[in-house]
Amino acid sequence: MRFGLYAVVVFASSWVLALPARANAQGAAPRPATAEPASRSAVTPPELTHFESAPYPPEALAARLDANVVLALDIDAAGHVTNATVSESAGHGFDEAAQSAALRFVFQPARRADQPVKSRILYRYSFHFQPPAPAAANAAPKRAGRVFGSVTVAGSKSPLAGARLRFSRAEVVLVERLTDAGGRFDSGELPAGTYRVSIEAAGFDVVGTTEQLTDGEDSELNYGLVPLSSSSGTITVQGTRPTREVTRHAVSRRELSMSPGTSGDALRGIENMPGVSRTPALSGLLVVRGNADQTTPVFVDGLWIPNVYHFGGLSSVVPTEMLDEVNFYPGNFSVRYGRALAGVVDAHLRETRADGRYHGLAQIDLIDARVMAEGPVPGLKGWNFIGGFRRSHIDAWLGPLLNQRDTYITAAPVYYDYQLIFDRRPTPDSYLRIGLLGFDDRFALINKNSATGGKLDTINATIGVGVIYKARLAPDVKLDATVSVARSHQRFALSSSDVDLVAQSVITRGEVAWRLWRGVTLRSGWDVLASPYRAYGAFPDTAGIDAPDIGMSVSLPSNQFNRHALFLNPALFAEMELRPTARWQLVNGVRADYTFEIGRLDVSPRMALRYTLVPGTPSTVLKAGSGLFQQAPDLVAMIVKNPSTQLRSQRSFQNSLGVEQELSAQVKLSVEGFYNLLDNLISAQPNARGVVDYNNYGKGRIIGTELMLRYAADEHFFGWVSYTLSRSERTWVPGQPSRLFELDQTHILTALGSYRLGRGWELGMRFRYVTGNLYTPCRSSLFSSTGTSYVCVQGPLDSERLPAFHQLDVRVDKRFVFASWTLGVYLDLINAYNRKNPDFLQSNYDFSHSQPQSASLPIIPSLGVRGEL
Amino acid sequence: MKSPKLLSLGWAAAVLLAWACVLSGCANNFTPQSKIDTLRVIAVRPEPASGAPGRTSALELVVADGASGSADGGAARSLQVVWLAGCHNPPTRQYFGCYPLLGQLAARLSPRAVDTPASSLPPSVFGTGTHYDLVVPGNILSAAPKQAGDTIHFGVSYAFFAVCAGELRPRLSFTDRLPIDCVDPQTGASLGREGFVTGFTTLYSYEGVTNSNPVLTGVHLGSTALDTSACRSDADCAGLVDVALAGFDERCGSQGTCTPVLPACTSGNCAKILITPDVDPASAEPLPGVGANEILWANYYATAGAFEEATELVNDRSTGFIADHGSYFRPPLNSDVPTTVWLTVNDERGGAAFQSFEVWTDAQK
Repeated sequence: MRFGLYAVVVFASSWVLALPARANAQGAAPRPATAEPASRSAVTPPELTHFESAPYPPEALAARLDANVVLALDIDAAGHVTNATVSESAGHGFDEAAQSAALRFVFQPARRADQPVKSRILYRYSFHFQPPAPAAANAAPKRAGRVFGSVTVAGSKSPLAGARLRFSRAEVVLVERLTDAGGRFDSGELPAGTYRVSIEAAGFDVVGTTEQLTDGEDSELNYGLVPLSSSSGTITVQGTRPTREVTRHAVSRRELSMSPGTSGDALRGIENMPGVSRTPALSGLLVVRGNADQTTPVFVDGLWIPNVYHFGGLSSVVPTEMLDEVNFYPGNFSVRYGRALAGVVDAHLRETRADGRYHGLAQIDLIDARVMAEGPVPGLKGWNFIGGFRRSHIDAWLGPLLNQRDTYITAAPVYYDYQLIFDRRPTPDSYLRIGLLGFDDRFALINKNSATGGKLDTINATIGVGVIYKARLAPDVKLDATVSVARSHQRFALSSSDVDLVAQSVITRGEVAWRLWRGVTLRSGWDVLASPYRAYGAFPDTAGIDAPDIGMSVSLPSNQFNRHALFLNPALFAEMELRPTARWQLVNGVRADYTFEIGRLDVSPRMALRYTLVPGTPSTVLKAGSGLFQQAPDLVAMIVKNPSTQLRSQRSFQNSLGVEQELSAQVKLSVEGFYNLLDNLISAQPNARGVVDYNNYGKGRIIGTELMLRYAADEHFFGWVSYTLSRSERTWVPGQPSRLFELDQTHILTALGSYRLGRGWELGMRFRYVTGNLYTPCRSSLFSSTGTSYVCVQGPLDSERLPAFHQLDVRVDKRFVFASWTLGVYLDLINAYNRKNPDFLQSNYDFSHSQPQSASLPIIPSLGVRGEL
Repeated sequence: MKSPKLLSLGWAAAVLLAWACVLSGCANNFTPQSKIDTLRVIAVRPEPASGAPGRTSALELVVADGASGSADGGAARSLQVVWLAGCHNPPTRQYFGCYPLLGQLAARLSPRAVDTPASSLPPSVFGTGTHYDLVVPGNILSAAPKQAGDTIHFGVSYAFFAVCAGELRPRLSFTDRLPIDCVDPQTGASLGREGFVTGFTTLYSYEGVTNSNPVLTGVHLGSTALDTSACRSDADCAGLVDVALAGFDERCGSQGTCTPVLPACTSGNCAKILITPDVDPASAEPLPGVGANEILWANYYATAGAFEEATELVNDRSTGFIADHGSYFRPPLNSDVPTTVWLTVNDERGGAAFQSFEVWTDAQK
């Protein structure tokens, strides 16, 4: 049985200002605080260079006692402890244990005029009882490492002297350091493990982060603190976090929340990344690298969130304030992700702030209002919580607007979402989170003229509870696991078409990372989805061909399904990461998915390679990737398909090659080419009755290149230019020539920047230019007397384009800082020059005339107010 | 929190369109469908409304020429009409399955299509004029494929027509539509939509079941039934309606029938009046194997003025007969000729009924 033992060391002397420095007595050898700004005294205090851990007294151990023993230590000119007397006794054997250990301490002796001298100090040796962690019981003794680096003003090279860093485990501060005049710090020797690091400096936001110290290895970390007067309390960690993917676009919360045109919504900021197609506002579509919609899933803490946007894009269902970071992988992602043909968006919720204080936030804008609270859980030591609630209030103004348009609102357009998270660190090497997430969208309307109008009824609701557990099982073995239970209800009814899905889902994902030896890490895990569901659907028969064009109210469609079934998709994956030298990184992996609904096992091998051609700054990194990505057919295809049709998973063979070039400490250029081959795509073809049937006849090819020129956020500015040039082709029927995919967009350009003007003002702009969408022209028309309507005589499919899209968004922020809280006001001017961007072509009754129509937002000033405690 | 992937029935696309219309109102400056300002086919009425093996259905083509000078009191344009038929149970049952056959027939048409001698084509596949007899072959049902999902066995016959204010000529290069063009006989230039309409009508032959045309018994203007009795003078129409109650008067029109006269417009804003075709609810016949009655709908057309809705549902499969199926009509502000109104009622199996009448305003009369 092992136990945790912590000592808190306090130095005090008559001529030196004491700095509290805390150290782990369990085999650690912490140095006392040395990073204090240079003393003007002629005497330099002694500095502990060798620490001895005291054995826990058996009597105290049995009684589970904590204690502090204050010792008076006499240190000679050589730095050895010549005498240790008890100044404050604790009894129970603590005094003897502390004395015995202290006599073996070694110090850098005190100095006067650079000459070593004898000294006497007071030293507090603290004993903290901690129940042993089972996993740690069998672990080998941990070798020590160091954490060193610098603290600067975020985004700049300006050092921050006097910043206070606290390294803690299990809520106990083990080491505390102040940065020197150059902003540098050094933790000294620390045992391997997970540390909570908090950094404080006057005038800057307090930040907290978690760092992993691996056995025998030192870690260099550079922190950038954001001035209090700026915004949003974000942190930019500039230390290198190794990526397992060829390309990862990681954007800080500040960059996401301050991006113009997104109203501060982090997940909506994904549209600014390279490779992401422009989709109409409020469509909820996410189209990446010329792939279809619904092929780039969004994960939040590893869990897939379908329909991540309220009402197709007003805001995302997870508020920005709850997010730590959003990673976007446009392709060639790790085997830990599956069921995706294109890319992945992986958002992470942040840990609660374990600073013992309560925080609050309230915000309101034209769309919604939200509140959030955060702090320690009363009565539960070590537990913290963060909870939030948001509700839209667009029903207040949209209802009257629609009523003016001959429309009845039967269910006001309302969305709300809520989150409640409890977390703690049971041991220094583990983390536990219990979370409740939920959201609910509801909107229903009918036209006043029920004969020719339509009805629309949408529901998008989910509630779920999830548990996340991360732990170091052994010095070289880490576990990251999640399990969640959720219920979701999604409905979309438009006219006589109706789709209603209710699903209960149990999802568990996990990964074990095992560092086999230096430079070789094996990761393997599981990803299981089990979801009993009820799916109901109804579709008009022979819609569009010789059907009466009498509006959307004709009911009783002839095609219906009502299915109760279990969707079961277990997957296993394994990945080997090799770092033979500091310059090379090779990740090979394989993933196996079994989809019971189609009875198929899909095996997906993948590879990613990174080579640092030029280390240091500015660095040059070459990167390449290749792999197979598979996605099961969607539910409708599996349900509605002809029973005799055996559908297979859709496949994409992705290949990419690129380079990342640092141009300066702030500016980085990334260029990447990609070539994807697709097959087994689900192709929906009408059969003889005009009813759509599904098969795997579709094939495709996507070729393109992406460019990202990025200026990393500093105290004044952040911004980037992203550009994608691509061509996406498909063949839906065997033997037919390939043609452009309907979502193909040749040029996608986004230029974005935000500048802090001072005095709390910040101005941001975003400009986008995108090639117009494809459409199929009508060459002529025929009048169907049976349907009393015209039918289009189509020209070549997707052979013409709408005019290009371009739009400018402007955002102005003003932040007021008060003693204990801040107030932010922002104006997000969407579509500043009110461009009517065409999204589709609308034709007249006989298709003789047509004109582009816009589904994008007109000029909308979005004003928001936000208070933070 | 995860669930099986959302059913991909165009969720996003449909939401997009819904929002687009909410936000933009789907605004356009198109001429409304109800406005007759070009050459238009109003309806094709078959009698009987459904086919049967070896039986002939008489097709009556209702044409309105809004671009004709007659609308302004001038001379009406001369129209050519050609029918091509003989397409029964085509592949996929859809009209475009007839294109290969139409190409073969068009190759045997005379350069001036209406002059094609009957002897140059197989019997019962060619005709001219607004009336055409569609002959259903004896094997229409036995040759029709039986498909899963059919609630009743049926065959399908198509008749294509071309209506032209110029000269109809075969155009074999049209392989994706009716291979006939309409040209100006003087210049040879193709006429646009103002003078050329092509289309098709579908005649269903059901096994053991027939379909009847909807029954249109009259028209209401507001709450008052329109009386279109024959007349020789305004006196013959006097007192037919209670002007104070109805909101309009009736006088003798140019076609020798009593005609409604609406109040003159004032200050640019004409009062609208609800026009409702009187449809016998029994017109919505039961659909065998479906458990519901067929869908009926009404179309509204006028040479001037504007209907608020061009189409109204009369019978819904689920909710049944809809008595409130009228459409508001707002007469033209300034016009020196009467407005012609057409009302049609159709069922989903090809049945049709129609009625037209003139409307005057006080200023005109």
